[in-house]
Amino acid sequence: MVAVLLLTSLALVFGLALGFAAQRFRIEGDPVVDQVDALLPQTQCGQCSFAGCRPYAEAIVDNRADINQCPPGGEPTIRALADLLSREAKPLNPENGEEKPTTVAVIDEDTCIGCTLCIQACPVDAIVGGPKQMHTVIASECTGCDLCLEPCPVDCIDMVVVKTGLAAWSWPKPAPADISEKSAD
Amino acid sequence: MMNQSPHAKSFHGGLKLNGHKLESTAGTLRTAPVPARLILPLNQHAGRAAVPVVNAGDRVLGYQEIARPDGEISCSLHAPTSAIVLGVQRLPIPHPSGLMGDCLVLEPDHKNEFGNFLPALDPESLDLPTLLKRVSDAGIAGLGGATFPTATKLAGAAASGGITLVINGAECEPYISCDDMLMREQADQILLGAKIVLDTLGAQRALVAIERDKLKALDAMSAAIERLGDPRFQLEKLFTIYPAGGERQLIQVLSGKEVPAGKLPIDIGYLCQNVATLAAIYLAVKHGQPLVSRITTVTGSGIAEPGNYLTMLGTPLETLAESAGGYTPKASRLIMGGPMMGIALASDEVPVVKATNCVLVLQEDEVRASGDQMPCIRCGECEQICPSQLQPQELYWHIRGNDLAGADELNLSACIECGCCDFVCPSHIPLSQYYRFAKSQVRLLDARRVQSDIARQRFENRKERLDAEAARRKQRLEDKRKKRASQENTPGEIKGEIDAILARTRGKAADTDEGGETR
Repeated sequence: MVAVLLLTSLALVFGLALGFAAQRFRIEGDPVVDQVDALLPQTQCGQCSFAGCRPYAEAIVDNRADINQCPPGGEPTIRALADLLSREAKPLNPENGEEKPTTVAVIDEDTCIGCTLCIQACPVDAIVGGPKQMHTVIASECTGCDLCLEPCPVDCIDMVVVKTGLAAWSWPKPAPADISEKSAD
Repeated sequence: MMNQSPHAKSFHGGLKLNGHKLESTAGTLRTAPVPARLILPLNQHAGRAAVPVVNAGDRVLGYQEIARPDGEISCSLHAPTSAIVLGVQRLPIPHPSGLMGDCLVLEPDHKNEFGNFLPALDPESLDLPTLLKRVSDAGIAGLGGATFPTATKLAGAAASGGITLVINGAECEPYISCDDMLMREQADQILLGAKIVLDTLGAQRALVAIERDKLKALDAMSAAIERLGDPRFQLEKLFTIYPAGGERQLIQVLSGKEVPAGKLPIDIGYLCQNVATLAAIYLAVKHGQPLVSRITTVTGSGIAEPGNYLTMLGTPLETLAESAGGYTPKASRLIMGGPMMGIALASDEVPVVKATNCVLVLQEDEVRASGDQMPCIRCGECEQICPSQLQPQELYWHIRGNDLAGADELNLSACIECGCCDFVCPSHIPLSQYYRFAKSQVRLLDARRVQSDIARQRFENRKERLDAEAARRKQRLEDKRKKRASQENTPGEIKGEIDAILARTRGKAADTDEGGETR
């Protein structure tokens, strides 16, 4: 009898404590989504079939999307996501596009008619201009997402590959030893 | 004070290498001729490229500033002699990429006229801000090879009091002898430069670190210390072991303390300066002379008359090699720097820059062929030799598998790229090339992360703005509806009115009926 009472009261006390903790220390939002979002390249291009990087991150966490749907992130992003979520790394899904060099949008300022459609399409507000005024791209803020190409009625936007100067230069990776040739010797 | 016995303390690993120093130190210091064209790359220091302040066609005097620093970590450039500015051109620069870089090109007019742009200062009554400004104005960068802007380094050291200045005369890499030659010829300049730094920073002592096989340099420097008669200076003889001249290794030898990974020597109270940098500080303060020349060792079996040359910055290596008797028939490989850490150059059209301590020309049989690489046999030789106490073989596996995060966890950033692991590897794996590759990838990824954080912020700001706009529009519609509603009557009133109208019409109808009867 005592044992039953004791166990019941313990269960009550712990239940209350847990219930209180769940309310008091509730985490707003999903921290895993934040971690996934931090690994994505933030191009906001929608090539993953979601409306931006954060929705894709949410979809990955909810198992609605795979980790290999981000062409701008490419292999390094897939690897980082696989590490974070303890999933198997896999090659980029070709349906979502292919890994391309970083580009930046350039507006042909002579052709631009100032319709502001590209300004509305840009996910990172990297295009400045007003109605019937020439528009231009802030190159340093452009993520190269291609989203401004579609709405332009006069096709005056080009995606230009960013020149890799000295600052973006990397030592090349040495080729590994050719074992087959050596063992044939 | 003199410390006669070499240091018992040491660092992990390291190598005893054949010095090859005698070839270039047999003669005295010579002066390289003024070339037909001076090529001055705008980025010959760590940090941002300098910004030109002269135009094509201008005539500049020697010591005149021709490019000013851009931001905190940057360095100015000066005309080495009087010349006509030909303009900014994209030319090959001494860089491992082989890419072109923006260079200011000058055509010397051989009149050798120098202007007095920086007034001479009195070293005795110099305060720290004045020294920092002068060092910055003179375009001085670390001449040991890293070319980090010296003013920035000194400013970082100024914050912490009671520091020890290490005067780095340990020139550990084979073939290079420019610092040795400088100590022999200009010992007083080095010490006076060091004294300026000591006085202005309020440092407690200065350790003059020289390897014990540099006999002439030791003699010259100890005589100069006697002449200076400053008790804060102390000569330290080092065992000759590569890489004892590395900043962290040198401090470990002198103090027995290790500089923690990810921290700077100044965090444990040490400031390390190369001898040539200190001499440059002296010249800048005492004579108002900016950094326009340096001593460069021209040596190797591919050079006819190896030696040390006082060279104007911007002198093409071609001109320098010619004044050293030209190339021997067997010359095949051109290297800037030493055989362990130097970079291979594709052409001798590139100029001498602030970092060019040595121009090394080797024969074909002295360079290891790149094709003789074999698989790692996990012998652990590299781990025994690594002066940073890393696990080179583990790093190698991670990097080979493109696992940069794994390499980072093994303290990849603490690698000083000294090349000791390459040297001992029995399988001839180019290990430090893997580390250089991984480090530059990490740097690029970090830059990309910064960029993507900005993009995320902008994306979120935009979303917030659009949401706020939508909410405002909704609110406006709501308000309008309410306003209309308040101007008109409430449903109750409307019903009352309808009832009243109905009653009226009914009344009228009744009246009519009644009227009909009355009619």
